[in-house]
Amino acid sequence: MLALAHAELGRLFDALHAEGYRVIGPTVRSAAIVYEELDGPADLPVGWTDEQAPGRYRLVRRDDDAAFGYVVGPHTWKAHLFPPRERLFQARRRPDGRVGFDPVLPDEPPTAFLGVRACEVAAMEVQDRVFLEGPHAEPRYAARRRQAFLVGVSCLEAGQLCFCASTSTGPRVDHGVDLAMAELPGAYLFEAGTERGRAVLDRLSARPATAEERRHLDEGIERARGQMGRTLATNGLPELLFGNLDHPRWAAVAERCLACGNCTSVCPTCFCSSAHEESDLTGDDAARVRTWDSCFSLEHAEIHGVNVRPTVEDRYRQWLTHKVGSWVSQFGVSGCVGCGRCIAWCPVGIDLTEELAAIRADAAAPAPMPVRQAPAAATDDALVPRAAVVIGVTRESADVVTLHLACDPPLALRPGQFTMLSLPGLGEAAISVSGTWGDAFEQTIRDVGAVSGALSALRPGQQLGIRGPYGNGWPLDAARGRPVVVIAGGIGLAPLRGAIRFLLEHPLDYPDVRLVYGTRTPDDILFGHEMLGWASRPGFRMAITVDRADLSWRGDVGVVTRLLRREPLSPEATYLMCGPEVMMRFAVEALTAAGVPSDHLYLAMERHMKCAAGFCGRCQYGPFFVCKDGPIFRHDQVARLFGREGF
Amino acid sequence: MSDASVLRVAGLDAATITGLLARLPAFSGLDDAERAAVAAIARVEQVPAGTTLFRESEPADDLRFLLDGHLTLGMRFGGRGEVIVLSLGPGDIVGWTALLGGTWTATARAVAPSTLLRLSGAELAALCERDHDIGYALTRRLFAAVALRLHDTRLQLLDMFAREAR
Amino acid sequence: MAAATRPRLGVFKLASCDGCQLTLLDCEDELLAVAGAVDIVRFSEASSRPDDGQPFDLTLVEGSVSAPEHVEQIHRLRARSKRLVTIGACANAGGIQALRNWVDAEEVMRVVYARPDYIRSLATSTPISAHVPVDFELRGCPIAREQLLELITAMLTGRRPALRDESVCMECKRRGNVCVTVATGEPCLGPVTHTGCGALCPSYDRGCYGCFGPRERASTGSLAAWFLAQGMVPAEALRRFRGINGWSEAFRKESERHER
Repeated sequence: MLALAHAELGRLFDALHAEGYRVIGPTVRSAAIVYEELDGPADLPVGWTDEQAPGRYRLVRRDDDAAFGYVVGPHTWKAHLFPPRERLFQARRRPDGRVGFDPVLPDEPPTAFLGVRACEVAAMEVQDRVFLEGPHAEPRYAARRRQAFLVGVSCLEAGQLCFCASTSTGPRVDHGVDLAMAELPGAYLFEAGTERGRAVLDRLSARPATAEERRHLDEGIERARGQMGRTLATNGLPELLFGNLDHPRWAAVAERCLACGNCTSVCPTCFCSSAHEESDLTGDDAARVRTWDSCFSLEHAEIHGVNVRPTVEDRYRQWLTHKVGSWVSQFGVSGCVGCGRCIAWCPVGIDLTEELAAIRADAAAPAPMPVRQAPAAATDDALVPRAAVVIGVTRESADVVTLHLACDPPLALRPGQFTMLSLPGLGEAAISVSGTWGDAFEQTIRDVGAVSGALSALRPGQQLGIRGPYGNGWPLDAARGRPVVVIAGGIGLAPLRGAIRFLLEHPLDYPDVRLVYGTRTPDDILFGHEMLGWASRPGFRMAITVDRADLSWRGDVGVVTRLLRREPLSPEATYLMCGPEVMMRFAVEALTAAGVPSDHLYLAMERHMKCAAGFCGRCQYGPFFVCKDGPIFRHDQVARLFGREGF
Repeated sequence: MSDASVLRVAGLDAATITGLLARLPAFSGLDDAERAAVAAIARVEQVPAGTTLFRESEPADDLRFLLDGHLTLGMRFGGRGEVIVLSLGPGDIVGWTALLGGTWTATARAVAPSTLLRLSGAELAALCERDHDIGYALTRRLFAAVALRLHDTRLQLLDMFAREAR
Repeated sequence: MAAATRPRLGVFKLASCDGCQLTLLDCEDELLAVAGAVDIVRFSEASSRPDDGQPFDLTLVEGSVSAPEHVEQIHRLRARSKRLVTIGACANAGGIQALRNWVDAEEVMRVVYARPDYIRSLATSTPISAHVPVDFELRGCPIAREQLLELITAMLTGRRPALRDESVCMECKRRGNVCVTVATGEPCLGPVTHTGCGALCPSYDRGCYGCFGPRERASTGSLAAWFLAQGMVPAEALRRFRGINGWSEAFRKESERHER
């Protein structure tokens, strides 16, 4: 451990500059301590501290000249690793129908973050799990994270809203940084954490720290640990919250919550994002831009014009049950690092430690939470489409079209997966893969909006953008050797078609396959010709029902559940379901009543898909991401949330 | 009124009909003697595909239970002709209006050769008046069947496959 | 693009200051491109080309319904517009002139004007949506140039306009602004106000005064309660919500809660 006198702090800046880094660190601006580019130690908030309370933050003069005598302000380092607004790629559409996509990569100069608190190091490590672990890694975050030189500063004073002692994320910076610093009244102490940290340290011409200085540091840390303004009992929080989703406290806090998104914006671990297209007037030259989003925003939970979290109560509950609850199932650690920013920067001063304590004080039985799956090895996903070409178009019904596509290199696809299809300047949509044929593949699209409408209008020879494939597939291995019942509703038959083809191609493994299919009218029946072929196979039986028909229809009229009641429902069989959620709900009820165990039922869930790669947070379904843990779920995994409002 | 082409299955004795009644959920709450009382006023008929069992807005006389086959219920819909609103399969009741009196609310047709148990609504109502145990048991089960039919109809009403307005 | 295939645009005003129309002219660099891509049929602030009476693909209307002739005018415009977009606080919410909705307009006119008989005005100033169905509301006072361009571009390219309905706070935080309310106690309507301005006022250290109108789920009650708890008097709370967008439902209800 080395030491510098206060007056010598400029050497740190000189060393960082000499190593090629610009320095971003704390400074006073607009009545707060924010993180901006610094030229030298004079820019530091010398002699300032922050007094914080729920909904209140004031800078107050200290009676010493400490430069790091504050805790945390409204800025986080996440703004430099995962910027609030970022262009992902440029896209072009040529008159001949070809498309092109060019990634836009980070181009910031090498940067040193000066003044990283222990809680902030922990927050970066939490975001590392979000952005760098499998199945996909986000290369922009990875590049910025690798390059950022971290100078951590331990806290020897805790703030009024701090609770890093409860979350075990501070106050000492003892890992995860290139250089660890601490500020004593008479000296700055330094320790290198990495090779490049050592390179900077070597330039400081610092003297060894004395034993007394080391002791002061340890005492200061202990003092800070005991000074925390807030505490949070973290044990069993996920189970507690998911066992109390109807607790009256949610309604109470919803009376105060503004759903403004300030808490998610100042939180150093929140990662939800949105994306939109920007273009010139023709749309032929376009860019996709990613921006910070929040689970408090209207758009966050919207799919096909329906909002699964319409009320403030739904949104606040989503935020808190995610932050300290389902986050653990997703990433193996809590999303809260105890920095207290959400408490200070909430315009009406909602304090999550108070809310959680209130729920704990009077809680119903906890609910079991899924254990985090070890993440798969991550492959990079640049979030940039590549070109695919339309080789054929089949009209399936008035509003459904199947595109036959090819791309190079060809995709390796499993039944049940989906891709993100896009057109420059227009947008992107998650579309199921409905089959494969050699290297080509089929995607069936229902015209429900601007993007799907434009995709449905493509003609052979034209190109479109494709990302993926994403998602898990139908559990065809697990279903081997047992009867299989496929229950499909409407467009839900599309993601199941590939599975049905597979089952019929392996009759020895699947000797008994049944399809129960419901749709609106006989004109809406998909893949009618292909179905005739299926019907002629031994070992395959099919029952189709429609909501209404005219007299020329010889089949059934009525909802799918009526058909199910007439079928023998073997508890041994595997049931694969895809269709409107209300249909799946009643089908599950009917099957459960017939004695089919929960772990034989598989559902395809649908939530708003923005990135599909596990980063944007929009497709979350409690502890699951529909894009990477789904879209196919076994019923017992999701039984607690299935059919419940607000998730 | 049913079509002239309806065949009556003559010669089925009461014991056989009682046995058929036992297969129907509507009569599962009755003991053997009670079922025999119902069988005495019931007959079995077999109809070919295409038979119209009854027509919308005609007087409701007989109710039927489908033993085997496939029926549809349709309703006239202004300029659209007739729309099929429901299919019925084995075990389903068709024509409960006959028990209440009034006119048919839909048109029932067989789309496959079907076997039905048929009773006069007036005679069944009179039997239930005379024997309240039969009446109660039957009413309870008819109530459950109507509730289930209502639930299914509500699901159809949700029009869950419709495209939302853009 | 041949003139015949370009979408036809009409720009009109009812009772307003003209600032929202001016935003289209403010598009300066992009204006030529817009004029090339769209057939600007009627835009009396910019061109003396007469109205040809034919239908429009897109009609932009600023201004509130404030005078008797506006009622007929807006119905006629609606009938000949494939898409009718109201631009600005007057058109969307009735504007600042809707302050008269809370008083006896006749009496005020008698006090203010020497010859009140020369004035022909409705008792209330109302948003266009109170009279005809509206396809889209572009918020602002005035509207934001970038948002108008995005609306026109979205119509031309066929995509959904990237115009989010969220709090001003989200935009403030993306810009790295320090919250004026939390850091200085300055009241700010950002949490209940529809974004679109780029968090303009808070970027200059002043509180938002809601010129883009209420966002969805505007929790005005909670925000007002907080203001009062910080020492604001009810009359001031009323005034804060009864501004440019005072007649919009969420702000109107909130201001009325603080009436004596």
